[in-house]
This record gives sequence, C-alpha cells and structure tokens, in this order.
Amino acid sequence: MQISIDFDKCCGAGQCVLAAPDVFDQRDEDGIVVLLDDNPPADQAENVAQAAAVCPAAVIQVKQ
Amino acid sequence: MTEPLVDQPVTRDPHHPLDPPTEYTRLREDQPIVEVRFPNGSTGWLVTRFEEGSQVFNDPRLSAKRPRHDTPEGEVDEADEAAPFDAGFVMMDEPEHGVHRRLLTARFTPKAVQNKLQPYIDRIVDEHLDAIAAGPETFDFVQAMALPVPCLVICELLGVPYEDRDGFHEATVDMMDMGKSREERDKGAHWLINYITDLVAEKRRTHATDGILAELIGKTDGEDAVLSERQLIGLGVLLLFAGHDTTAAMMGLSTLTLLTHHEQRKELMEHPEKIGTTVEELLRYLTIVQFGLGRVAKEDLELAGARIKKGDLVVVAMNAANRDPRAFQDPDTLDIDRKMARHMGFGYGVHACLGQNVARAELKTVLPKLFQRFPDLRLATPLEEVPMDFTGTNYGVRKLMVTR
Ligand code: HEM
Ligand code: SF4
Repeated sequence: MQISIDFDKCCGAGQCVLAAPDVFDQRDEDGIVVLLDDNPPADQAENVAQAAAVCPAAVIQVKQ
Repeated sequence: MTEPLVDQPVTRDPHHPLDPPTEYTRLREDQPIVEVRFPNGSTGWLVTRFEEGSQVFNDPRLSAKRPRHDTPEGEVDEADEAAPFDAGFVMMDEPEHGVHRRLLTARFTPKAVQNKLQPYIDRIVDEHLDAIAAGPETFDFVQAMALPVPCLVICELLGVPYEDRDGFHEATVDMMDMGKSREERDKGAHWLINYITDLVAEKRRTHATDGILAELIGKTDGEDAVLSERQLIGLGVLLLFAGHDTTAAMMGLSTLTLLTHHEQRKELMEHPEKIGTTVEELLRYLTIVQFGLGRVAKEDLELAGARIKKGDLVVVAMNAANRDPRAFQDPDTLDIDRKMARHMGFGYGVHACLGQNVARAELKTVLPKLFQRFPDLRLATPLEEVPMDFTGTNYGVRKLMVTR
C-alpha cells in the first residue's frame, strides 16, 4: 500500500492519528499530519483505510 | 415556470424532541438538493443527503464566506456584515484559512488535549460530581454540570477568569438565540467584544503568559505580527462562545438522550469502554448545529444535478444528512455500537470543528462518570416537559431536572 497526503489542506484535526497511530502523527508546533510510514505493512490496511475515511479534509490517499 | 419554493424545515415535532424536523425526511427522499426559502427570507439551496453534503464541504468552488441564512424573517445581510466582530478563519478560504487556523491547531490535537487538558477535566468533573452528591436529590443538570464544565475548560484554555462566566454565557445565549431580536443579539455580541477587548488590555498590562489569548497577543504585537487587533479580538470572541455553548448544549442533550434510552444506557454502564462509539453516535444522532451551515458558490457549478449559479447560497442540513439512510443503517435508531467511519456532527472539510477533540474529551469524561456515580439517575419530569431550546443555533435543553 502506498500513502500520499495533500499537506496543504490538512486542518490538523488529528482523526488519522486516532485511527492509525503507527502510521500518522502530528507536528507539535501546528498539528499538521506527519506520515511515519508511507508504505506500511499489510496489517495496517484497515486502520489506514479508517484514517482516510475519517479525515475531515479528505487529504489522505491510499493506493494498493 | 418556477415551482414555489419550500421553506427550510426548522420546526421540530415537540413529541420527538431528539429528532430533526420530520419534514426533512420527505425532502431528503425526494431529491438530494432542493431550492428553499431560508428562515430569514433569503433563498438558495438546501442539501439533505450525506454524500452530497460532504461534497459541498470539500468543494473549493464553494466559499465559507457566507451571509447568515438562519436569522429571523427579514434579516438578510451581506457576508461582510453578518457579525459585528471579525469572524476570522471561519469565513476564510484556502490558503488563507489554513494559515490562520494553524495559529491554533497545536492546542487542539488529540495528544495536546490528552496531555494538557485531560487531567484538568478529570479533576473538575469529579468536583462537580461531589457537589451533586452533597446537594439536593433533585437538581438541574445544566447548572450542576453541563454548563460549568465546558465554561471551566474554555476558561483554562483561553486564560479567561472563571468568575466572569455568568456574563459571557448570558451574552453568548443572547447572541445565538434566533428567537431574539437583532438588537438583543447584537447586544450579546458587543458584550463579548468589549469583554475580550478589556481582557486583552489587562493581559498586555500584566505581560500575561497564560493560555491561548496571551499567545495570540504575541502574534498581534511586534515586528512579525500576523494578526490585526480586530482579528485578535474576533478570535477571542469566537473561541469563547464556540468553545463553551456548543459543548454545554451537547452535554445536556446527551444526558437527556441516555436517560430516555434505557437499553443503551444500561449497555454503556456495563461496558464503559464503549464510551468512544457512544459519543460519536450521540454527535451523529443529535447534530446540535440545528439550522445547517452555508457556503457560497464562487462560480456556476453543478451539484447532484442542480445548476448552482455564482453567488448562490448552499446550506448543508447536517441534522438531515446525519440521518440519511444511504449513509447509516437505521439512522433514526440510537445505537452505541454503531460502526461508522464518520458523521457530520462537527461539520466536514477544512472547516471541521477545531475544538472537536476538546469536546470529545469532556463528553467522554462526564457521561461514564455520571452514570457510574449515580446509577439510578432519572428524569424528574416527563420528557415532554423538558424545556428545549428550539431557537438557539445550537440545539439543547434549557434546563434538565433529574433525580439522583
Ligand atoms: C460538541 C461540541 C461542538 C460542536 C457540535 C461543534 C460544531 C462545530 C461545527 C459544525 C463547525 C463547522 C463550522 C463550519 O464549517 O462553518 C465548527 C467549527 C469550529 N468550532 Fe466547533 N463545535 C463544538 C465544540 C467546539 C469547541 C469546544 C471549540 C473550541 C474550544 C470549538 C471551536 C470551533 C472553531 C474555532 C471552529 C471554526 C473552524 C474553522 O472554520 O476552520 N468548537 N464547530
Ligand atoms: S485527519 Fe486529516 S486533516 Fe486531520 S490531521 Fe489527519 S490528515 Fe490532517
């Protein structure tokens, strides 16, 4: 799986971090998403899909 | 020939105070988007389905700079005049919106809320539960918990003295009540503007370092200032009212909902670990921002088959969208085990609620502790007699008499 993010549109709500804490984090200074792993292992697929779905700004794209 | 416009439904069935106006069901089943007359007499489009509503919130061709649609009959303004204070990034589009919102986001991440605010929330909730236990058996839950806790939290976050809560809460209620005259609502807004202006002056004088307001002063003064004085005051006003009134409304209404859904309450009491999904379900089911949110078309565009003209106002009725059977199974049933990716209780898109993690933390703390401490808690009046706030921008209970 390959993850890409439109960082400019991230509104810092942090819902991705709650859904997939091993894959996403947020910068301390402004809450912008940090991608910890842009090609996470298959066992993260469900969490990542959940993160992409919950993200209010719809900035997380996942390619299998 | 144009068809006569329908009115945006705003009147709830008093026998079903937890459901949106019944008329929404018909509109939503008829078509995803419909031309309407809004409460103030202006006209535009109303979106009642979930998928189409999501599209509106995430379409850069629709601007957040919008006039109000939910004011009383005859009160139609341009977006610029909609509020007596600077509405700040609420009415901005990208990229400007992001620049301003990011001045604040660090304080509102799940991690920041968990580390910096959660211990404080735990403490004040316990104190208020103790006070309830020591007080009369029958009491008003709004005054005992639903109002003071969100007020304390926003005071702590912003650096606002808690002893001023009666003033800022009354002013907020006046400002947000669409059942009040414009004069009364403006009086509330001006009270808040004057209050924040005085508080900012005081903080400058004492070189205060407590809370968001002091932080924002640092971004207004000096060489590399990013905020104007008017923007600073506007942000202070915005955070103060948006931060407490919404959460208070949600806390009171959530408690009423659980008190009238016995199976669901029992399930939560037996499985307190379900509080996360319970709160999301309550946010969906109740959708307290009850008149919807507007956006304005920046160009001609097509949306779910409708031809929207440049300048048209498009309002998403989130309370209807959150009950859309295309998005949620049995949408009118409260189900704390519901599996859903997302809902629209905090809006959607880049403007989705900045304070959502704070609101969640408060609700997730209060509800389980309340029913743990007072397992026999029950309504002291029939549901029909609970005074509902039908005219407030945020739907809620004005008073909630309960017996412990
Ligand atoms: C249950 C409680 C709450 C609900 C239901 C709620 C609801 C909402 C909604 C629907 C929006 C979207 C507005 C739009 O798209 O135009 C919003 C935005 C906002 N909320 Fe909340 N809110 C709550 C609590 C809070 C709290 C606790 C704070 C602050 C501490 C807060 C601050 C804000 C701000 C600053 C915005 C503007 C965001 C932007 O335009 O980018 N809210 N809220
Ligand atoms: S959920 Fe989306 S908007 Fe929020 S922090 Fe994550 S990527 Fe950014």
